[in-house]
Amino acid sequence: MYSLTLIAACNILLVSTSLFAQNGPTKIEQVDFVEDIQPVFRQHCYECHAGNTEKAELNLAIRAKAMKGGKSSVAIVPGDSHASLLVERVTEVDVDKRMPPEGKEPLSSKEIGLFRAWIDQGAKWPDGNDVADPRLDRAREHWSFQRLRDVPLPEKLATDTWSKTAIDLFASAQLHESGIGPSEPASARILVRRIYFDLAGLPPTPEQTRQFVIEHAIDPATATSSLVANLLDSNQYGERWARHWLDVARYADSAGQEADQDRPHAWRYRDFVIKALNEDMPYDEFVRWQLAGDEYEPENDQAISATGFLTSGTSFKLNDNFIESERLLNRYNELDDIVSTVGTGLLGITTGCARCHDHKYDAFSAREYYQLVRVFHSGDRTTGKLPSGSDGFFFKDFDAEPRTTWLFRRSDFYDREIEVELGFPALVSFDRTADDYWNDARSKVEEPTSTLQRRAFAEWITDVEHGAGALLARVIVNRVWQHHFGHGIVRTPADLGVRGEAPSHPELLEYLVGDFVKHGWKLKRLHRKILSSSVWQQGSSNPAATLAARVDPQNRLLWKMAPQRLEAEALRDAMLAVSGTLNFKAGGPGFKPYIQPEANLARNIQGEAYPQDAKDDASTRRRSVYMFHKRLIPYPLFQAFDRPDLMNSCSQRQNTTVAPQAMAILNDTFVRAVSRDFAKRLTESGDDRSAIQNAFAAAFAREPTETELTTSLAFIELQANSRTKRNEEGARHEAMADFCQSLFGLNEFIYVD
Amino acid sequence: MNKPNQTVFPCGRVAAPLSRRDWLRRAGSGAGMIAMASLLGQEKLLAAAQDRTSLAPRLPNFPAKAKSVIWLFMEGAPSSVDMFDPKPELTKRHGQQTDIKAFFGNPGPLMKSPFSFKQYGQCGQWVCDRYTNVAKHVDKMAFIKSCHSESNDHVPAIYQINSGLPRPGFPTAGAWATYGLGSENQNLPGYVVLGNTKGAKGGPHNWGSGFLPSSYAGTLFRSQGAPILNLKRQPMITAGDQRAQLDLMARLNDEHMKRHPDDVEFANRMQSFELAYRMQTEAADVVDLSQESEATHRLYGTDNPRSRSYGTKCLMARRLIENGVRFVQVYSDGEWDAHNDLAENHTHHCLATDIPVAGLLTDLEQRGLLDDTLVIWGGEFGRMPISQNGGGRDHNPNGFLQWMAGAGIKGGTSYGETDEIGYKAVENRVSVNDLHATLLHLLGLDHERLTYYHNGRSYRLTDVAGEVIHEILS
Repeated sequence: MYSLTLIAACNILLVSTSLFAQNGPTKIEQVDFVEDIQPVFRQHCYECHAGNTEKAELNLAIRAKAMKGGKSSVAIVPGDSHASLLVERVTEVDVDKRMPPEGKEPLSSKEIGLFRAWIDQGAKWPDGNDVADPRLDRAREHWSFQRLRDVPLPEKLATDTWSKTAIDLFASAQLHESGIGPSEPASARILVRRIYFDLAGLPPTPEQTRQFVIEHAIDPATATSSLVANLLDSNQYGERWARHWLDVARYADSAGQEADQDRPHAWRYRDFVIKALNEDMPYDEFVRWQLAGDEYEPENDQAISATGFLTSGTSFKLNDNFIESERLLNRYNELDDIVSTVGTGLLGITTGCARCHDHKYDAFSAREYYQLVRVFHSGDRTTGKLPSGSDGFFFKDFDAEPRTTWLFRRSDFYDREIEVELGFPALVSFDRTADDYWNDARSKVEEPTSTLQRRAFAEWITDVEHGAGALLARVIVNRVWQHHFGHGIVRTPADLGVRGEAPSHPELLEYLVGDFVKHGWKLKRLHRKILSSSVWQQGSSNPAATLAARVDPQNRLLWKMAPQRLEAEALRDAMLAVSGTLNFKAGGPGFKPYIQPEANLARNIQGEAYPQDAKDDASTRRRSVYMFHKRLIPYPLFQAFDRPDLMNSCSQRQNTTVAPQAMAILNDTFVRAVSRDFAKRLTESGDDRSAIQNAFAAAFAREPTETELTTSLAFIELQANSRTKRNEEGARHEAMADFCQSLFGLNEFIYVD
Repeated sequence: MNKPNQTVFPCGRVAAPLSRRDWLRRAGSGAGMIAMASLLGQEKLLAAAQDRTSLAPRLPNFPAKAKSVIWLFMEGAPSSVDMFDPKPELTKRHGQQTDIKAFFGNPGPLMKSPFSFKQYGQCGQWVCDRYTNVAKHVDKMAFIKSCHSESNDHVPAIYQINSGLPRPGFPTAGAWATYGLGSENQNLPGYVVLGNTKGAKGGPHNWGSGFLPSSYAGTLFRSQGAPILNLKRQPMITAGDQRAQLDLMARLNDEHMKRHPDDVEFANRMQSFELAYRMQTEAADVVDLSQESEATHRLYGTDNPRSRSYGTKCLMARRLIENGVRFVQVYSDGEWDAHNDLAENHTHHCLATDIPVAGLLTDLEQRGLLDDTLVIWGGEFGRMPISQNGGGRDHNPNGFLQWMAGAGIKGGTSYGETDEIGYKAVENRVSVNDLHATLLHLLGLDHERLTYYHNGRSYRLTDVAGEVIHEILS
């Protein structure tokens, strides 16, 4: 409220000074074009009067053109604002004639006063201030396209007993400003479950919970950091976090489209991702390999399999006798898939419009889009041998000869007038050209078998000094934050461009990015930093925080931890884990789970059909990241719980709460089978009372309350009786299964607090 | 039957549906909105997007002509010149070679239609001798004869006719419609697909929600057995058992709810279980065709083995929209994909669909449902005027026909033309975007304002194009 009043007061001040300004220019000191005038042009005029858009033939971005004027007449008469059409039009009373046109914000009196004064003072426009490309000009100012900058840590307030880490200082500063306090730390039991799901995608076992609770009581910080360290060292970490990246990479095990042929070797890319994460491969190298691993280490299976990032999109090989236009459409759609995945997935930049035309809000021009196409135009996905002799599925250039690439105006692939050279988007290029990178790459490889354009691109995209490295780092740090908190610091993780959302904590993000890059692009270090913060360790419920709930209902200032729903895979893995039937076998070809005939009905699939009678046994009870994803036959339980269709890069999953999810929990064959296994495991351990206690410990990392215990006992008793009355075999066991299945539907099971 | 109930939401965080003004304010499109979004940051747009996973009914942009849609999808692509758009010039030039390129190569000469035609109704619309029952309804229909699309291949073309783009993974028209309007009955899905019994070419992406929340994806109903996946209880589980489970869950959720008194999502999830429980009864009920009279069954041709399957689906479609489902798509069985013997293929498919489609129109009219139900008939593209393999025709996305009937449609009209042999749309060309714009318009939605922010841009069903075909509207 205070700030609003303040703004209102400022406005009054502005208005009153500008009233003076209108009385005559003498009230205003010397006007500076760059400081005072061009920003107004930029904000209000360049959309229509700059670059290729010169409405009424007027361009206000280039001095010579601006002084010449437009169709109507001379716009600026130096020394005489009264004779200048520019002033006339911005002060016009008739809204049909006034500029900016109706629907846009009119210039303020102050801005008009500045225009007048500037013209009366001679309309000085110093050299070197022409704006040839307003899109680029605007983007140049945008926060995410800047080079990295050092961020000082906020000072710790004398009253701040809460902040433990640098992250906390940033968060705390913003909370303090809004008069909101953080929430109490989460209890040990809440925390242990949160840490396990976050890093391993699994619930803690009762024993793991017990141990943590004991250690936490002695020293919470040490207990937490050592658990985090252990989990980061475990194979489960890579299995958990690979899934996040595989969404971005739109990874699946079949080709999609009509034939949806299996890609029996695609899993090598999935395994590469898991391994790279587990080994804490520096993220810049992780990216370079995915773009051009074969051009860096042609003798390394992993490096080559990494290019699965480029091959994971959908594809369909049309026969050569099929009509040419269709084959071209297909080919350029596939290249578009690569370019847009690189754009949104790696750089947080949409290329959506540039395929057809220059768009004033896009970061990339159409030419730059086709230059990116060119990087990948000389190769395609290949099934072949890896250096070790194993079968692989990877990207490969046809040979060392770059293929001609054209700028297809309006994406007309028969428009072949404009050839494009290798080039990288200008707004994240600083003093180094694509050719510099390319020459460099070529100087490092003798007798190349590929064009090395991808390697040049990979160098540029990870180059913090001269290329897109800073942006690349900002995008991944924001993604990591998102998976820890449910939302990124920028809540549009696939768009850090001019239309994306502004960061909630810009200084914090910049600090984390700087630290990340400085310390070798290590994700594990970033995880540790985040998980050791007080911000992340807050409780998820704070009913007392009524002010916070009112001022910041979306929790953008991080005054509590928001509960997160388990993703489809984590939900399935958690059911298997608590039932004691999760098979931890890692790596290798994906398993195909049973899919009901109602959902297993894609027609015209070529090659191997999806099995009709897959067994539910240990071989199909592996972690979900190893499940074979057949694009046209998605696994129904996953589909219900918002798993993306993996046709395009996905940066943020949907989070719906719909009846089909409930129907899956209630009626799905697999869920019932796992409930029975869970029940079996529980009854082995003793009587109903201890079974219930063990169930709560496994599923929720806590003891049941007395009420819960009695309620549960009564339920099991009632179900056992009614099943016995129906003369069912194993009535008690089924009753326990009824109980276990109900636990799977509880909020406490489906969400992490 | 439960009445539509606005207080019980199956999902979503919104406790009350947004008012129309709210919605426009928060998620409108157009240059002004984009500028505003860039000024304010995307948060408002995003917040709106995140709120909108609900199927709760919502007001359209402007008063709607149609409340619901039944889309009779003729998979495999029927031939316009052999069904509704005879070309005398084609007959005249039968046997002539052309330079037309065909999808599968191997182009033959021009081929006249194997069928004979008659004019029907007040409007004098031509219909072939295989579709004489549908022909009785021509005065209810608007024929759009100049459609064109981009792909020569079935699956991309099916994706395009459904989603506007010849690529998988984008929200389909039914998903956009339910996203825009919600649905009238919360105990049934808002968008139902009665699929091709031979399976789905291109898979569930044909009715997918793409990047829209999955609540808007089409739900595949089977015409036999349990209509929806997981609708049937497991063996050995009775309704009583399940009721007891739900009651247990409600009690055990208590402890957690106490910790999160304000989090509406948790309450919604409990509601979703209750809804699932009710759906088991209601969905089973809606597909129980034994409740229909024998006369009705005859009207739809379910008594005839040739038309039984499609008749059953058409009858089910009527029951679904009658019960408040927003959007129903009815796939034909097999394919109208007549590469070899068009006469044989089309005769077969006409027999399968003629009585059911005519029956549906009659029934909808008799029940007063045609006034607010839009019926669409057509395939993913059309067929070539030249022959293939002797008596067949290859794919043709350059010019084809769709018809619409019912709510908001000016009956007995015709719009656009292909050339004299039916190869390319030449007059008043209609793109898939135009078809979609018209469809949304009839539902009271402005296709330029129905947007969704995803991966850095605002998407529309009509991408950056689309014009409503006002000439066919009443």
